Amino acid sequence: MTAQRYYFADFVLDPAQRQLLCGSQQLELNARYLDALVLLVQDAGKLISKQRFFDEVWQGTVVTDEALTQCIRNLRRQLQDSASAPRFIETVPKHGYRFIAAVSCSSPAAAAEQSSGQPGRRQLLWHLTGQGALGAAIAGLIGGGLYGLVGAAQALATGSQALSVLLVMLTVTTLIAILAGAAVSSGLVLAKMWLIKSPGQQQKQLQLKKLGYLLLGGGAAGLLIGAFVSLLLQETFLLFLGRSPAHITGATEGLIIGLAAGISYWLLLTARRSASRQRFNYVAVFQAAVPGLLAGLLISLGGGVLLAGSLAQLATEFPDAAAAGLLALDGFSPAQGFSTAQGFSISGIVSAMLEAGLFTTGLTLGLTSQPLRG
Amino acid sequence: MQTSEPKKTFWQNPWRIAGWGLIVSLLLLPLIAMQFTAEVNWTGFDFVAASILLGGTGLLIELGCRFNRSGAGRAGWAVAVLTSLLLIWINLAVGIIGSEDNPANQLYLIVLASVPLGGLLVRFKAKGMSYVLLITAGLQIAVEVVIQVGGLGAAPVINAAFALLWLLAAGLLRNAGTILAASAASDA
Repeated sequence: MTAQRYYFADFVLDPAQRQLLCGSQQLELNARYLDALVLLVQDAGKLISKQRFFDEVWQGTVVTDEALTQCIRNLRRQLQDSASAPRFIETVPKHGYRFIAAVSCSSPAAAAEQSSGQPGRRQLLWHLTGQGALGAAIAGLIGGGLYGLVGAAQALATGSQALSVLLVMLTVTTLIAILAGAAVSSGLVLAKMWLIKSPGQQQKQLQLKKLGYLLLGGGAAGLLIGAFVSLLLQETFLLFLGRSPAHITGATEGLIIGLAAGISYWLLLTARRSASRQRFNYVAVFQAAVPGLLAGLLISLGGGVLLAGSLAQLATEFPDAAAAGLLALDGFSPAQGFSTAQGFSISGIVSAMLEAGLFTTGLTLGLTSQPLRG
Repeated sequence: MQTSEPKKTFWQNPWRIAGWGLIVSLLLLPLIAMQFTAEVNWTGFDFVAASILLGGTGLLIELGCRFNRSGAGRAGWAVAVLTSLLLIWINLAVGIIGSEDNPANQLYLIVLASVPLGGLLVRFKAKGMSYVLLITAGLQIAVEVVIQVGGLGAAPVINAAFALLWLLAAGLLRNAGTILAASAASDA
């Protein structure tokens, strides 16, 4: 790596000038500790063994492990990091340490951006928006594939019709997923950036404040994109089927899912990171999915509908529409299928939970996907 | 990032597993469903067409990731490829303007063609591609204007949604900066 400066969160590390800056403020670090930080940041994402610290920072001087522990403790204090829930320096017990935050290197283009006073924020925003949108896109393709197959199975279709049902479902869900994913991700990331600008004192207070900001950002973005999706579905139904049902998904549903995405993201951001990243992280998937599943449950209990619910409404309101057969997902209707006494259908609830759960999981896992560990 | 440690193998990238796994399962599911119900009845042609569309998309995204190591750049490329695919799908399946036989739908060929043609012109560089995709978004809106003026139909929200997707891809590629992709160290 030939970069002269490294950027992570609000910090700038300049090995050549031997400076660590937080915003414009210079932080006090002695020469050894700065060397240790440079070593960590240069190989961000990789395990730096204790021996490497001793060889490269202490350069063969015989020191105890305690010296290294003291050094890391000091670095964490300067970075306002915590050992139990690290944002920057993660302990790999018995082996060494690893720098876990995203590091960007300055380039002429980035340097130009630095001088404009916003160090890499715009880049980070787009980076994370892309990650979130892609995560949501994968979730949308999975959901669309499932629905497409259910729809195709119910359509009594010939071969070519089955393909076209699958294609329409895939297209509509993926399109919605990418747009909604991008909108909600950028809402969440903007909210998070806004928060960092105002310094918090207590760790716990800061976390709560972060949750509030994320709820605000996710909710606002969800509300907007929900309204847009509602228009999009109405137009799609009108164009392809000649009419649109009265009760389809909209801004309220978007708001609830946006809030759920905010909670998922907050859980993943504040969660204690597991030391081993090689294994599949079940806890993270669980944390990402649960708020979405609950949101889906809440929506269907509150009488709202998501995509499958909207399609089911279509089939319910216009049973005669020949084309409705093409998209018939009657089983998912809140009013049909296996109805309980209150008039809720199990499959309606399940489909709403599936949609909201898949969306928040894909989005937040995309947002928090970290560089792979070596 | 420096790679002093052994590189990850090709299949240790979670995005890659998710993507190709998805493509394979989308193709396998109807095959399995056909064994159990006569209602799913894909012909050989359906499978070939779906394989080409899905596999081609996967390959194009792989290709884009090979040349783009920044996270936003890769995401932008993937969104552009996916959006092209969605536009092809929706036209194959039903057609946006009227029925799938409505000749006005062929206007979308111009929108679609602008991506690879413009791409060749700028040699698929991220910055250049972002301008190409801005033009593509403009063309998408132009189609809407043409069909409205020509009285061929109207699909303002769908065309706006596609235009937004093109703009998203353009914005991502425009800001393809120095932040590496989550898996940049693991491949290429």
